[in-house]
Amino acid sequence: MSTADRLEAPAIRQLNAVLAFDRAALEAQAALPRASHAAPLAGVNVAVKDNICTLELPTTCASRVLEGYRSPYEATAVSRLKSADALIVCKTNMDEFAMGSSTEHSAYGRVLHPLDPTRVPGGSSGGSAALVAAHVVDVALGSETGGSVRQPASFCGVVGVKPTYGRVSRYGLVAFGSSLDQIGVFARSVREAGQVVAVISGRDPNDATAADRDPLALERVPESLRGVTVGVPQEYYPPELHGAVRAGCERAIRTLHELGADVRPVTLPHTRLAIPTYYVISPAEASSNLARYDGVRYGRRATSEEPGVAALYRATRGNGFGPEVRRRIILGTYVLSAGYYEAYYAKALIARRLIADDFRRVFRQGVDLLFTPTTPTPAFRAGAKADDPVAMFLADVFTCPANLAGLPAMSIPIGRGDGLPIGGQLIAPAFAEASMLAAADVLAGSLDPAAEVR
Amino acid sequence: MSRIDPAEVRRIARLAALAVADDELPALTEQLERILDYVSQIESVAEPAGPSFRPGPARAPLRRDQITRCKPPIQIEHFAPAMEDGLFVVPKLPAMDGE
Repeated sequence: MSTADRLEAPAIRQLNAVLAFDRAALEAQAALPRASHAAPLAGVNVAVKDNICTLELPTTCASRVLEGYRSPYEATAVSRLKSADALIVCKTNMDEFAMGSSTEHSAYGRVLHPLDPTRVPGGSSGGSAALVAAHVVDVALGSETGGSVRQPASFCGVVGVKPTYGRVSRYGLVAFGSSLDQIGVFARSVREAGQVVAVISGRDPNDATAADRDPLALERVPESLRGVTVGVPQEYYPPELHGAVRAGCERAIRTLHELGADVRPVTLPHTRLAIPTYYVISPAEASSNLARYDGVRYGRRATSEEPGVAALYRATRGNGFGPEVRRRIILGTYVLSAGYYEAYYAKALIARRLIADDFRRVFRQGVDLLFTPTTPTPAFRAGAKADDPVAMFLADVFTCPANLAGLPAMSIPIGRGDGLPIGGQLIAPAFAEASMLAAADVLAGSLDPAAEVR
Repeated sequence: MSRIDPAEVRRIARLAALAVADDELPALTEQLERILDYVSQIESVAEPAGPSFRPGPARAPLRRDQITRCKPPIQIEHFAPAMEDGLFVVPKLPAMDGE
């Protein structure tokens, strides 16, 4: 069955994971002469999250305000995939402007979990995660601001990698929180995920925050983890942690021991500040970044009965953005406004530094990698957190610290609880993706991701 | 003590150029109140000594100082909701609502 046929199969269409697909464009791409038989991603099918700009397909960020929008340029990550002979298959559904942890906040309807339609696939890159999990595409691009690749990867039982901030160019990634945003990768194996990161990484004159480094060079996967020190931060194993998640992590930690790793408890005392810090910094940056959607230069314009250009802005933005995006813009505007800036934004910058310092300290003490659960629970039911934004935020409690500190991190499937996938997270020092991926490959090779862990 | 009231939400929404319907205001205020209560945990953090944290390169990498080919210009008329004679069309500026 071709990729296009798989995408159009009724069971896959029901997932609502795809926002744009053009069979003719895909067939035209597939017919292009190959750059080389040895191209690293020859024939690999890639789905791209709808906040990453593509020339062939619209880029809407799952928002009404960008309905039908076609970017005049393409993201560096997409150009590099095409140069490596990968095929850009479709654009994937997501939480609007990447704001959410369940892919329920899309203007185009929620994405269903591929194993249980009553549950969410995680978010915000839920469409990308679902398509990889359902074997529709080989790999997918997502984006992370607070865990939007690792969290859905964990929920859907696939590998999700968030590189170091600056490892992959953000050129063509629609900005949400510019000091946090990073393009990430979904795949069904650690090896494939690493190959894609290697292709899309590296310096880019179009992004001043892209690190001035060569593309990621993958390491040979070792036979064991002898000589690797893995820290287990106690703050990531609270008493209320879901039983199956705890059991899965305990099994993975035993496996790390058996593989020869030196596993030791560590402490990251400011972890509890991560979510509050994230929910000040990311809305603050979003309120500034999303100011550009005003209905004047591009995007959808709403009409207003009130006269004047300010009324046009208010109507366009009030109608064009969904409730979650509006809530975050208002929150961000609030924490940056006179009288509140010192109490919220300035404090959040201090807390961010304390969180980053925690990681720096444990890595300086000889820890090579940290192992934690990716999420506090397996995939939750659709609607379960719809009325409680704070409960939804807590889905990212274990993922957003790495974003705040700019560190590389990834989720791998480590087992199942009542049939639902459970993810284990590895966090590494900045730009240590190669050793993180090698260790993840060894660990993944010794764990049965389909085994019940309870 | 409540951190935010409906009048303040309306003021902030106006600063953010967002229309908020009257019937949305109570629920929105209540949600923002809950979020602000939650994030106020950071109020107690104290500034530590030492350099502050920023992600990414310490200095923006510089491009080589050499002439390169320009990107083709973007055809803005394909994107703009309303254009005339190469200019964006918007409602009259004098009606800026006295802001």
